[in-house]
Amino acid sequence: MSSPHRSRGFARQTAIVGIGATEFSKDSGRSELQLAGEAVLAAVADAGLKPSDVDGLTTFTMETNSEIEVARAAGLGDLTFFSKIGYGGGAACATVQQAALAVATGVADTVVCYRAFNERSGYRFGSGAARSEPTAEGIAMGWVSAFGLMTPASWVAMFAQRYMHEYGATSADFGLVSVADRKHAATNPKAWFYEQPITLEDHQASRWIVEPLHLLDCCQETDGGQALVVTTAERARDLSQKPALVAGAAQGSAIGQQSMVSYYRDDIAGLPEMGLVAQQLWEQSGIGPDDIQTAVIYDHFTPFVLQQLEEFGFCKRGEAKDFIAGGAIELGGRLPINTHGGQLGEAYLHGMNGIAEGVRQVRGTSVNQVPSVENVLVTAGTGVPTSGLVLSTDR
Amino acid sequence: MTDTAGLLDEARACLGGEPGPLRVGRDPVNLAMVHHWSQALDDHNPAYLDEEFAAATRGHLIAPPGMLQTWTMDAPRDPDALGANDEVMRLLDAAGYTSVVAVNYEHDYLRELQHGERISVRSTAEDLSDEKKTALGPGVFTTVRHEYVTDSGEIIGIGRMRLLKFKPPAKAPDVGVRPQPAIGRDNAFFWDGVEAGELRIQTCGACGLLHHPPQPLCRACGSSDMGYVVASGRGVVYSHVTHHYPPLPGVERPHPVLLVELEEGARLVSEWAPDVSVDNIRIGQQVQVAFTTVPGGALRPTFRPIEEQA
Repeated sequence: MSSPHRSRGFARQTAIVGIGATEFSKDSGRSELQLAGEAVLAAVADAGLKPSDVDGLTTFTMETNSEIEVARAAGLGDLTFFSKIGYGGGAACATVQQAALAVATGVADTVVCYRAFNERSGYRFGSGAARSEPTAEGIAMGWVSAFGLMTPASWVAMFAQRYMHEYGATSADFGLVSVADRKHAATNPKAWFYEQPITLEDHQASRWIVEPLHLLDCCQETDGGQALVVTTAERARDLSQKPALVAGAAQGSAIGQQSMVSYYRDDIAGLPEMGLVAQQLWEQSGIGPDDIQTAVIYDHFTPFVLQQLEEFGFCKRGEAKDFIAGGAIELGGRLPINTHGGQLGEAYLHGMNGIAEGVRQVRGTSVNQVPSVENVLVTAGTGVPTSGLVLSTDR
Repeated sequence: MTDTAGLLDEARACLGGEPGPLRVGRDPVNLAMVHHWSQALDDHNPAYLDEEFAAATRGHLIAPPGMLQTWTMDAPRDPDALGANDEVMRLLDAAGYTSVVAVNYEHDYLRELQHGERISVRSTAEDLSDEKKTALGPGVFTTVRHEYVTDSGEIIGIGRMRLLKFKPPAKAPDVGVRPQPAIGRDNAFFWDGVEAGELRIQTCGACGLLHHPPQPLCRACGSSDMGYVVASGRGVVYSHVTHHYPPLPGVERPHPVLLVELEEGARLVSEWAPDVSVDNIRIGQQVQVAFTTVPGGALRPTFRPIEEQA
């Protein structure tokens, strides 16, 4: 199973040492800043650190809580590193990458990565976007919004339809992702859909959101906050928790990249930006798909889970529908994914709750623990410039 | 549930029936209302307005005959004392002909009215057509006879109002206005082309590469000499979706959106022309551009399927 570890660059030099979250709800009843502050304090406490130990913060766009407000809210000390990364959920794992880079180079000692929002009770990303300013971003959005293609579900559905056409995947194949996620959420008390598994029939009977996507292909919306603490591997060994080493951390934006609507590439049935992330992660960590025991695959919409499995080489292009059949992505299968329930089942924290689950799998503390975990793959938002992580046990 | 034909038969049985109680005008014939009417219709006949002239010619001021109906407008109605005409209207409403428009109104003036006379009216539906197709929707025509009488019971005028009672079309939900694209230096040529009825695809003046979406510098050679070609507008459906939820401004749902690959090679997102309804959109289906409006009235390049040879 295990292969020689040839560490490259900053690989295995840093670790996630603390995770902390608020409850996941549909109406938090408090400000987004309070959610951020609570999550940061919980993560710092989990690591056995004090707020004043934190000297760096990373987050990503579509976050309303600036680093300085969070630092004040959580009573942090002086900050020597702070960064807000672009492209929303695609940057989830990049927050850990930047934290790891900062820590590995000595720019900061302890960096907290965070996401907190009232995405259900406040502004809902799925409600439809139409920008009117003639900036590069505004003009790019106009090529789709002017024709009534205005929601994330619809942007993903366009890729999904082509993928189905090219490889013969069906809506029921996408449904298997939803069924696996909800199965795992059903045994996770923190999940919104705790004790609410679904069947493939439920998935197929759920109403259309944007054909070919059903309601149960689309992740839920959540109020909540999640934070992660990154420090050096050396320091990690003296802290409270078993460290989750950052064995690989990468970003990717591929040729012809657009935000959610890269429809103009020769081939739109793959996710080349995730392929770029995969290539870097395998290279940094010195491992490959066979060395991964469980994965957290970004699941805002089910179809892109299939393409990601292909981009990471768990199966060949177009064969994910065969790979995921027969319970392969459920607990006990070849590659259990999203053991917390994913964003469809646990919470939609723009991927940050998935990183926390990756950490729990490395620690051995997941409610749906996979046996003998050495390496966990975690991916970030798809359709946008994206990122990924390999988290590993310390040996 | 009574059917339409049955309700129409019931209504026909009430034709010419007892008109019900008189509805008494709120105000007697008076100069103030005549002034308003004269102003509104620009009819300044001295017989209506000039006391001396009227005294010399009629003996007194008269009311304009055309005001016949106005003296009983908004006359109070006793809801417990309805006549056959009210029953006809009720039955037509029940049959779904809930909207009304007056088609024409004929008056017979039996004598001139003078100030101070109080006018009342009673009404009887005289006839009822079968259902007709009209521009407003399916409807029936009925003629209502109005008798205008004085307090002493003298009939001073007859009106015959022809009404169309019709079924209003199901109201299309107001979907609002489709957002306009942001237009700047790098994409203005495209939207100018739409206004001109041209589908313009950016091309590099130096190396000839096509770009869509357009960009200020050629991605292959770096040239800023960017022009455009006018596309033939023929292409195929490369992918497509149908939007169901949530509601979006200027989008009638369900709303198919197409990713079209033009024969020149570029791809663009678009939608069907408004007159096209395709249940089974097929990847590879051949399409041709049209320039049509979207909700709110703005132009878009849209597509129609090309009939394929059998």
